[in-house]
Amino acid sequence: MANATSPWFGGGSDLATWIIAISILISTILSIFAFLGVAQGFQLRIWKAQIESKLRILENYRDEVRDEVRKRLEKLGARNVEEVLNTALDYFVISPVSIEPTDIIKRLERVLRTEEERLEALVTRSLGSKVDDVVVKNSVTLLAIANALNILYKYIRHILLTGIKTRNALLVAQLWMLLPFYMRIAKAYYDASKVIARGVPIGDAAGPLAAYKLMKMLPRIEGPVEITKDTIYSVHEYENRRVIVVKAKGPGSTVGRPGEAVEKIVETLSPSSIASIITIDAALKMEGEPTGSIAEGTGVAMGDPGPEKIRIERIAVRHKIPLYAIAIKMGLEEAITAIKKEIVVGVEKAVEHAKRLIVEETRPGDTIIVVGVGNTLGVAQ
Amino acid sequence: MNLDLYTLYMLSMVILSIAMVAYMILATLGSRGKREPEKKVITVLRCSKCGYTRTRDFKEGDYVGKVVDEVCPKCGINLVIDAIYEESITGLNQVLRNKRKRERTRKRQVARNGSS
Repeated sequence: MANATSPWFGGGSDLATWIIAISILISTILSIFAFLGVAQGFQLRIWKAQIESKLRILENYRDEVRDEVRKRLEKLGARNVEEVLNTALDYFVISPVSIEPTDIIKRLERVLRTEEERLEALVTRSLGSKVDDVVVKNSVTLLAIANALNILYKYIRHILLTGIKTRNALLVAQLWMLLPFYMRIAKAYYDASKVIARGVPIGDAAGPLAAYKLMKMLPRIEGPVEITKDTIYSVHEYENRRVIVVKAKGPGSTVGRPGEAVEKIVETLSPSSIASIITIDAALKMEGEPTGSIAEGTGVAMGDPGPEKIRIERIAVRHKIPLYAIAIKMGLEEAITAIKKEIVVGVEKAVEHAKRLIVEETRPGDTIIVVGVGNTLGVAQ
Repeated sequence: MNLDLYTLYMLSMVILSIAMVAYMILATLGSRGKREPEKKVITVLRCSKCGYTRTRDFKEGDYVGKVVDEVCPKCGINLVIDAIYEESITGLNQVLRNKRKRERTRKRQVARNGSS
């Protein structure tokens, strides 16, 4: 040992002394910077740069989807394409007043239906009446995706600029931390646009696909009949029971109006003969759960904002009809991008489960309503 | 240079710090380079009479329930689209697909060179 008396203080080589001196200097400067808030400023700049790079990706997603819709509409001979795009991309929906809850569901339903009808009318007017309904539906869905990406982009940009303007590091930090989650959603929407443009069924089509399989599997007595806008039903026979299968009218991109359809069917038929209502829908899985696994439950399996679901719940309560639900599990991205093989396998399992439920929970002579809930893009009847 | 125990300790700390920074940079670059597996959409055709099934690549205009022009080799009736799904191309399929892609690119380049 070169310096046996004091190896740590004063006795080291020149190199060691320099290293200590530089370390102390750096920590002193950093401490002063921290007190003056300079360090936070540096951190803010790093977060800003990273958020801006993600914003550029987001802007790119939005512009690509916008161009895709523009090309599609121009190819179909649409008029005033730019005007349609500008209106649809900035279209907004105002939620009804919630501090007065009376008839809020009816008001929400009116607002949502007006939005749906307005966007469809916008596309139909631009394309002309000769265009196929499937084309209109898919174009409206693509416009809705462009709208979602535009709103997400604007929202992130707004939070970033507000954070920088007010030098609110916490606001920027929060945005930076949530950004991976927002980017996941944006990527899923971007991927969904490509799939929808081609007419490939998405994961959310699991419910309508299950309804289609039941329709093809069971002997048909009547239908398919369009009972309400974009929603059809057909009547089948299974183990001496009448099975009424309801789904959105495909293969265009629409969820239909399953709640209104079930309400009409129950009111038209003798309500006492309805033994149960079974809803089959795609459901968000928990992380770790396998895609395409199924689960049975009670209630109405439906991910709508409320108006359709409540119609089924109310009619079931009025006539004491049991409500059964079958969920086909998938992730958020899987629900809005091309349907996976695991989900198709899950659909087969859900159909078999629904058949078993019918036999176990109802008696011969009963009528059962089975609803395939979801977007029926790429699935006919 | 006369290196005592303390200097050695300090040097090892500096080397360790540099190694840690290098590891972090490499780990970040490595995670960026990860690519998603290629995917393709498959259409399943089924004969509604005998149950014969076969698959092919998805074509625009396909939808579940559509009666297509292709006929069943056993019954001679038109096949119906029974399912459409997406699957990842992995393993041998990926290798073959990449090989086909490389061949196509090479042929295109040869054709371009020939025309110029």
